[in-house]
Order: sequence, then structure tokens, then C-alpha cells
Amino acid sequence: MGNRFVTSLEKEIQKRNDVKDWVFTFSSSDNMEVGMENGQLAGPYKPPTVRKGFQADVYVVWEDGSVSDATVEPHQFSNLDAAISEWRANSYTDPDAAPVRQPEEYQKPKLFDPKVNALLTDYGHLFDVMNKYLSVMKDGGAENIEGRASVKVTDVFLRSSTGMDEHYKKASMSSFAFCEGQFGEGDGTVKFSSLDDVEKLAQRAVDFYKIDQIEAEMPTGMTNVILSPDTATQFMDFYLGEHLHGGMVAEKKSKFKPEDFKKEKQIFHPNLTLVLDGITDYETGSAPFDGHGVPGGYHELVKNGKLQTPILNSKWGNKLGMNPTGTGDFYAHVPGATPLDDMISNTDDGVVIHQFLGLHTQSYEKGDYSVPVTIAHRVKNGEVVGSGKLSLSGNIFDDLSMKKGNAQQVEFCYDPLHPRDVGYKIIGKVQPMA
Amino acid sequence: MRVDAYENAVEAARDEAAKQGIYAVIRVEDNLEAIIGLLNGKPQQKEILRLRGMGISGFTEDGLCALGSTDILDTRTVRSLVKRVAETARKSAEYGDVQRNNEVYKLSPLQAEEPVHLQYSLEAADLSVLESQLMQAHQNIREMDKKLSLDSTYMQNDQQWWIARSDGTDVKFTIPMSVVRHTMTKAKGDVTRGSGVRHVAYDATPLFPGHEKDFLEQKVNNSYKFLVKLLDAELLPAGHYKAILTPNFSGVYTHEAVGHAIESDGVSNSVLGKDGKANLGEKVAQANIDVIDGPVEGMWGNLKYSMNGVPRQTVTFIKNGVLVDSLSDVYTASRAGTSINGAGRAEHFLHPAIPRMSCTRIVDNNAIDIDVHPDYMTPQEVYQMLDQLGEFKEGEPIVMPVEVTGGQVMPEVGSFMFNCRGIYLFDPKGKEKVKLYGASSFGGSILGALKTPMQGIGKDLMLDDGGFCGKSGQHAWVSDGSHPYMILGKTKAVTFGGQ
Repeated sequence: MGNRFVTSLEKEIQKRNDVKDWVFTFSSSDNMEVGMENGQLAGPYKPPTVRKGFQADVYVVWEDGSVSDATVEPHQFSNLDAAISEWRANSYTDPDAAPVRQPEEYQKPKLFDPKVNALLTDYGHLFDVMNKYLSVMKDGGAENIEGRASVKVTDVFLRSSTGMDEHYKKASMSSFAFCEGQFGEGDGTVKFSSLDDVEKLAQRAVDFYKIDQIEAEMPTGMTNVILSPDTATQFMDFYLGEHLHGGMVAEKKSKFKPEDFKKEKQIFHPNLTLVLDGITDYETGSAPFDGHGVPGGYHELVKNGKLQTPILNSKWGNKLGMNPTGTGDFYAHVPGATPLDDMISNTDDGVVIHQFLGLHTQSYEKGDYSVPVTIAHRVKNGEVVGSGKLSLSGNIFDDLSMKKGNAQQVEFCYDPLHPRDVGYKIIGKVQPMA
Repeated sequence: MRVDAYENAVEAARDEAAKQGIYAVIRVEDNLEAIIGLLNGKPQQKEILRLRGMGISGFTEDGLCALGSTDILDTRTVRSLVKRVAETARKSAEYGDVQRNNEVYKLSPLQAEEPVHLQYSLEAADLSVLESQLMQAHQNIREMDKKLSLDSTYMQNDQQWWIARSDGTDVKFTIPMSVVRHTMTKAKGDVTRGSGVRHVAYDATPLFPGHEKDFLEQKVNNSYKFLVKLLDAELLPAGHYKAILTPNFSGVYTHEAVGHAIESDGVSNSVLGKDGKANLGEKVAQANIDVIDGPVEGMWGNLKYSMNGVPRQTVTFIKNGVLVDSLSDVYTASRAGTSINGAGRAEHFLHPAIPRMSCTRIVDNNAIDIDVHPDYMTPQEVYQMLDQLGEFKEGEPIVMPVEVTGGQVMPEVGSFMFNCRGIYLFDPKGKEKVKLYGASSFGGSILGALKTPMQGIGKDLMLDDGGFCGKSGQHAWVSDGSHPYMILGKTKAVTFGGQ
């Protein structure tokens, strides 16, 4: 199976007598997007947008052992010989370069919903989604509303000198909306999102907007801090994702060493499992393979608090002598986590953190954080009594580790609207902010 | 220019737009990008990317619009795209309360061409030579300390644009940029810390012998010394402090705390807006302060034209402390209540143009005129300068953040923050008069921070702090800066601290 671009690229590479091995993915995509801005559909900043595109991403191992990584843009397909010569001229010697893999059995997660695919041409539903966010938010009293709904259908081909010959098609849709600049909700999925799904998301954003109208005094010092599932997922992704990245481990930039994984060192709370999932049906991070033909899979990076494997592509897996994990969605898996609302009900006094500012600017190395929180809900006697701003500081490894008896102090929760997101409650340090 | 080759495609788009009865803003991009990466002495990446395409924003007479893009620039594909854009724009009216904007019809035609001549052009570049120069610098740093983990990258872009419009406008220009990054990580026991340098320019000049290479080396040396001290640094208790800011901090602070809030697409809903428009005439800062945005030769963000083919102007949007203008593009200047000053930018041809900053600076019209340069002063020398200027007369400490790592703002909410890898505390009453603390944030209220008394030190502005600004899913490369130092008074509106 293939298309003329795939065939021509394969043929041109095979003509060369200085290529030892190669692998490439060819991706073509078709996109439709609609948006809204300033409380109205479309406009010059969020216009209905149509786009088709394609490119190939190539990895070549040359006879002399050097390698090349290259992207082939559409216009280059009319002169592939020149493009390949340029790759050769720019090849480099990387002692850690991985060989091209042999073909494997690839699991095939379900990634194509015909109803999503149909939205490319019959995109009225995307506008309906925007209108649903608009109507719910306006009914809730919000005015400054912006958002976007989109569909993207991708065809991916995999070929290699070692015999890989695979293909998959993925149709994904996503939508989000914000009111008053900060109260937002959204979802990305590989299944059709109904207006009922969207209504629940929009209503949550409105509920937060309404709570924000009630100013509550924020505590100072140590208190119960619940990181909502959304913010906790961002936190863990930012800090722990860096330290679990294979390249960071291999090059000694992570606090974890390769032997820590081999020994399954206990780092985190025993209830915490961190997963890289590239294989579950109808999830945005799922794919049968990555750009080098590493199979998608379900990998426990941390299991019951113990290190298992870094996130490894072909190169870093080869360097560390471990099986590569490929790519996927990164999330926490905590059986027994309670719904967020239940955790709030069981909290006498504390705060729920719903939105950070500038998390991406923090230094990941030690795990320290000092972040402004622009949406914090004050909890008293099990109820949310109002909203405010504060700063939150601490260290994520201290929060989630076995140190100082934390095993008893960390509780986990989940969000029924986004079941993969896991939050947690700790004793944390806060200070009110202007 | 390379974009001249697409004349047939541009004319086809213009002609088809006329047939379809829409006004088209046609954006053709031809972008060369070179990326070289090294990690601990080993090559990681070396490639040239050649991105090319056309984006078309189409507007009906009654203001319906759509955007389409293609990588294929033959006339058949382009005509087909224009038709699709026209159909999509008209069809959008069936779906509800659609925003209509036909401001673009009011523009006047323009013909302009601004090629840029570089000493090290990508068109003639040999990546192996650039790699070799970067590797030399990389190895020199590794020689300083065998236990360093070092990540070095060089990126250079030669982004050419042709903006054509249905009214016959043809504007062609180049946006060149380059950046050298050296990121160091060092461990001491269980503690790992990082520091780094980012040096921006137009081409590979910083890689070759000369003043810029020497300056980059000075910055790297400073960063390494800072990193070594950082390993033992505690966290600064959070609080309100008087501060002395170097240009990258004053610049990022201006960018985050003020610049975004004054972009015309959002100003009506930001804390600098009122009744749906920019709150012109409002006193928002001290009387000695101007805030300016506009092209500066040699700096990132030096854009002479917008992505709608409108000349980009230098805008003083805060003058003597008073808000007098916004950063406006053609679509929302009148919504903001200001005039068009060419602020529309798009990262690539497939993106819509939105108001963005270019080179933003905060200026104290009463700056103290002394000859100082932050990259050539030690923290101890900064302390002495502050003492001589009488800044410790109240006996309170002053903080100086080091190595900004970025920032974020919520203009509607009025909050901003940014982060640094370390922060010095200058304390005349302290056991250590100059003490380094670890990573810290600096954030608070936009309006509160703006109204805080500021004092510039050094007349000449330093504007070479370049970086990538993210907004609405697009990145724009921008620069910012200020005087060599800017003193920010202590205020409850701004909090510094790491714990």
C-alpha cells in the first residue's frame, strides 16, 4: 500500500549506492478548523481554515556510518536527487546513532471514526460545537469568549530498507473555549464529540467563572493543597517528564541514573504509576509506530512508585541497552483515586489549584516550583467558598516521594470529565497574591 | 529574492480572487532554516529545512472571511484554494452570529521590496563549516569543566515573504534571525542545576572571530560562574523587594506585563482597556516612563512590514506614563480606538496574521547617565554601584534576578509572571552583603507593577534580548530591552521569591 510520493521517495533512496539503511514516514493531512473570538464566530483571527499538507521525515544511515535526519517538503519531491545529495552533504557522525530497526508486529489501535472524518467536508458540527460553548457561556453571564474546533485526518506510511511497510489513518477532533481570558475547557479525542459532551465542558468553565465572582481570602503558609487533575497532569508532565526522558537520563541531565531503573528504585508514593500509552483505542497519543518504526505500546515508566523505564526512542534505547518505548500519552494511573469533588468534600480547610501562570518557565532540574496560581478555590468545611490568587511553592519530588512519611499524606483524585487526568492532595505552602 | 519565483502563483491567486469576488491577502513564504545540535561533544542534528507555501486570507465585501493554505504553488492548486476559501467564507454565514470585518478594504496599495544582505547567508552556507565553528565553541566550554553536561545549538532562519493583496499591493521582505544556545547542567551530589546563554543575531556572525563571538564567550563565562554558585544556593523567601533589573528582565517584564495587554485584538478586554477600547489617556505608569515598540535595525523583530502588507511603525504606546496608543493591525485598530500601525504578524504562511510585538523597550526619560554594562560587571560591582547611587538609604535589601527563563501573562486578569534561574540579594545589613539564591519567580499585577517608581541607569538602551513569544498557537521572534539597569521600587503589587 502506498502513494506516488512514497513510491518515488523509496525509489530515489534505493538508487543510491552510498546508503546502508533508511527509514521514513510519509504523512499527509487534511484539516478543517473553525473558531470564535470576542464572543462571535470566525473573524480574521479565528477564521474558518482549510489546509492540506504532506511531508516525509527520513533517517538515513550511510555506508561510512554517518547519519542524516531530514524533512522532505512537498516541493522537494520534484527533485529528490538534489534533496538526498543535500542530506549526504549534511550527514554527521553520532556515536550513539541507532541502526534502522527490523520490522515487527505492530498493534493497531482504533484511530479512525468515520463520523470524525466526515467533518472535513460537512463541518457544520464544528460550528455547532462553537455555538454550544457560546450559548452556555453567554447564558452564564460571560462575554469575552474565544475558542476553536478542528478536525484533522492524517495518513501515515512507514517504509524502511529492512522491510517495514505499514500504514495507518487517524481522524481526530478537538475543541476548546475560554471565557474572560482564563476560564476554559476543552478536549481532544479520536472519537466524535457530541454536543452533550461539549455542554458539560462549557458548563464547567462557566461554573469556574461564577465561583471567581466570589472573592475568598486565601490562606498563608502550610495548608491542604489539592492540585486539580488538570494542573497535576501539567505538573507531572513538565517536571517528571523531563527527568524520565531517555536522552536526559543517558546524558546525566536527569536526577535518575540508568541503574536506578534497572534496580527499580523506589522514588515515588507506592500508589503512583506513571504510564506512556501509545496503544489505547481512540486516544490522541496512540499510534502503531513512531518515525523509526518503534511499536506503540503501553509502558509503565514508574510502577507503584518504582522506576521501570525512561521514555526511550530508538537512539536512547540503543544507547542504554533497553527496549525503546516509542511515543504515547503520558499520564498517571492510580487505582482507587477518588473523584475530585469527593476529595474536596473530605477537606476541612485548604485550596484547590486550577490554573498556573508560567509553569513552562520553571527550572525542572531539582523539582522546585514557585508558581503564581491565577485560579485557586478556597475550601472550608468540605465546600468551595470562593476564589482567589496565590503563589504555591515546594518541590514535586518531596511532594510525591516516600520522604517524611509522605506515603500517608498524599491522596489522589481524578476528573470524571477527563478520566486520564489524576490530581493529588498534599500539605503545601501558599501565599496570597495581589 | 527567492520569492520572485512565485510570480505566476501570486498572479493566479489575485486573478482568481477577483473572479470569486473576494479581497485576498496572499502570503507567500520561502523559508530556509538550518539547525545544528551538539550534546556533550557529539553531533545530534544537522539539517536544512526548506519550507515553502502560500496562505490566503479571503474577505467578502460584507466582511465574511476564511483562511486557506497550500504547500503546492502551481497555478491550478492555487486557484482551487482561492475558490475553496471564497466558498468557506460565504458558507460561514449559515452557522450563526459570525464576525464580519472588512477593514482590509480601506487599505491603500503599496509597492515595496526590502531584501537583507547578510555576511553569512544561508543560501550559500556550508553546514559543515558552521558545525565546526559551533563545535569549537562547544569544546571550549567543555574544557572549562569536565563534569558539565552541555547542550549547544545553532539555528539560523532566512524567512522571505511576499505579501500581495487584491488592491495590487506587493510587499517583499526578509526576516533573518539566528540564535546560539549553550545550556549547561552540573550536578553536586543529589543536586542538579542548569544555566545557559542565548545569543541572538541575524546570521552566523557570533560563530566566527570578532566582537560578537567575544561577547558571547563573556556571557558563557558569566553563566558558568553563576552555575557553580547556584549549586549551593538556597531559595529566597517570597516577598516584596526593591529590585535592580538587567535589560533582559526589564525587557521581558515590559513584554509580559504591558505589551500583550496593549495588542489591539485583546486590549478591549485587558486591564488596559475600557468600554471595549484601549483606555487612552489613562495614567498607567510614572511620568518618567515611555514604553515603545517598533523595528530596530539588527535586532530580532526588526520588521518593516506587517503580514498584511502594511508598514510597521514605531509606536510609543505609553508616553510620560500615559497610555496613548495600542499595537494595532488593520483588523482591530478601530475596535481598539487607535490607528493602524502595522502590528500584524504570522509565524508561517498557514497562520492567520494577529497583532504581535516586535522590539519592545521601556525607557526612563530621566535615566542616570553613567557608563555601565551588566555583562561586564560582577555582582559585587553592582552592589557598589547601588551603594554609590544611594539606593540603600532606607537600609532595605535589593534583589537582582539572573538568567530569565521566560514569562507568561493574562492580560484580561491583569496578572503576569516570569522566572529566573537565580536571584542575588544585596543586603547592606546582611551577614553577606551579596548572596545568591536559587530559581525564583517575579510576578504580580500588571497595573500595580507599571505604577511602581522606576529609575533607569545608563542612557544607552540595550535591546538585544531576543526570544520566542507564544500567542494563539504561533511563535514570533521578538526582542526587548531597556537601560543597562532599571531599578524597580518595592511594591505590594509584585512578589519575588522561590519559596
